[in-house]
Amino acid sequence: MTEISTFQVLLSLVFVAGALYFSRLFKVKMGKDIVVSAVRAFVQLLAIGYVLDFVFGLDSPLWVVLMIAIMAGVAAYNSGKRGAKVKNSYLISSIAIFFTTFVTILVLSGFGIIPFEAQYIIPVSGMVIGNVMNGASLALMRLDDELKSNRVRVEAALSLGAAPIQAAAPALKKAVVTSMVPVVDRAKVVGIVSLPGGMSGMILAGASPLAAVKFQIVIMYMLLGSPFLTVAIVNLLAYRQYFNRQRQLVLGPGN
Amino acid sequence: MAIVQFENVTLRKKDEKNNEVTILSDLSFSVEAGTVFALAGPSGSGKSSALRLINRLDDCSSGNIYIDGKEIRAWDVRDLRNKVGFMFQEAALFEGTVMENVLYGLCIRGLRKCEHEPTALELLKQVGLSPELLHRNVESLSGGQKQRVNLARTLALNPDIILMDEPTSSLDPAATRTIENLIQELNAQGRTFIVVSHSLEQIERLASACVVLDAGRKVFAGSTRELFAAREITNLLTNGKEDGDD
Repeated sequence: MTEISTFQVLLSLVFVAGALYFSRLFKVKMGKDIVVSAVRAFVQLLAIGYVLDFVFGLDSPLWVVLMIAIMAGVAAYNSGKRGAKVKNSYLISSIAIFFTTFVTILVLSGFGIIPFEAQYIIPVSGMVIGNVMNGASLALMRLDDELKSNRVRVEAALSLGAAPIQAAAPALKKAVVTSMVPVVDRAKVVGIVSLPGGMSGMILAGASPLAAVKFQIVIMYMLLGSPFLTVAIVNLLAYRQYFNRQRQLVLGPGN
Repeated sequence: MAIVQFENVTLRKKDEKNNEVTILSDLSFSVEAGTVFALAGPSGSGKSSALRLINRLDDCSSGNIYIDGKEIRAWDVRDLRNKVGFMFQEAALFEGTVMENVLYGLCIRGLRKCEHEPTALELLKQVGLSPELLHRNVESLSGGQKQRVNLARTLALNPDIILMDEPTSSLDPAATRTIENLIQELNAQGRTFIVVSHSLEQIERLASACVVLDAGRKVFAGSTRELFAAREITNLLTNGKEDGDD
């Protein structure tokens, strides 16, 4: 792939300048946001570039694991914060995201699809973690909504002798469907509406389109399957937070 | 013999701002087996909250509740909910057919197959619903039909005590009469009913005894005849009548 010079990177600021120009032209007052995003993207990407360069250079599995753990930890924190209405949301999202990442990487490297080397494991883990983070957040938020808005039905089921998991089953089903719709929809249109970043990157880096496609198929299947595992774990741990041992629905203060 | 007994029951809950509020205060009363008993009071008086305690959907903060002479916390909650059925204010039916709804309790307990038509038809007969409705989606039913499916679903487990939270509040007068007639028929077979109502007319038609609550406190307990002699209590029920949950 053609090496881009620092000067050429600076030249690409012309796009940011264009965005600023249109922001002024339409008086939408987004100038500050555009500048902040451009600076943040520059600093964050530069930082991760140095970090990856450092980790790749060390060639130590321990550093790879540490790097993945940090990424998964940040994702779990974000997801837990989004689903904070669920008791123990941080713990639940951590268990789901760490476990899914571990299993996915184990399967991919176990099948020999990607070698257990930093330059493969870290970017692929990043894709998995980013993807399952959304699934975990959606699952936490949807389950809370479903159980609260269907309180009467849940309690009717309990009063008829249902165990908590039976009473929560319709809410769990809806939470899974809502959380997974974006993932399934994305897989349906891939290659037609959008060219995934990983595949585009490989083609830009000089790989043949067919090699890039093969790799992308593996990645798409992984991105289709892994959120299901995360959502299943989140749901199975989260619904328990709403019931006590007396088979009562516990919705917290004000309910 | 008292089948349900409240002894100095207090219920406190946290509100949205996490402040503790008293819902029921030092409530004592008893319900005789085989009667229709009314829990009455204006909106927000705590009558629905008291009803929930009998099915153990909530636990009281202090005091004791006895079901058939046994303290409620000593019951296995599954056995308790087998003995005490709960029919909610809203139909609260599950998505699906009439049969799926009426067999729900039996199906999840593994007592009957989930498609056991003879049992479902027998239950529909008990509540006077046509067998043709068996495979209909509950969404297509009228309000009165939904409440009868709701009652059939509760009856499926053959409970001794049936709790009803404003069972006719959203029904027209004809459907209300149908539900009330069913309550009287089932009561004649020996079942005990505890009915939350704010309608004096309904209490007069159905109940032999009642307790009246106001702001979580008992303001009257006695027979329906005594209730109608207590002018200030009937005024409270007439003037304090509002729409809304409690």
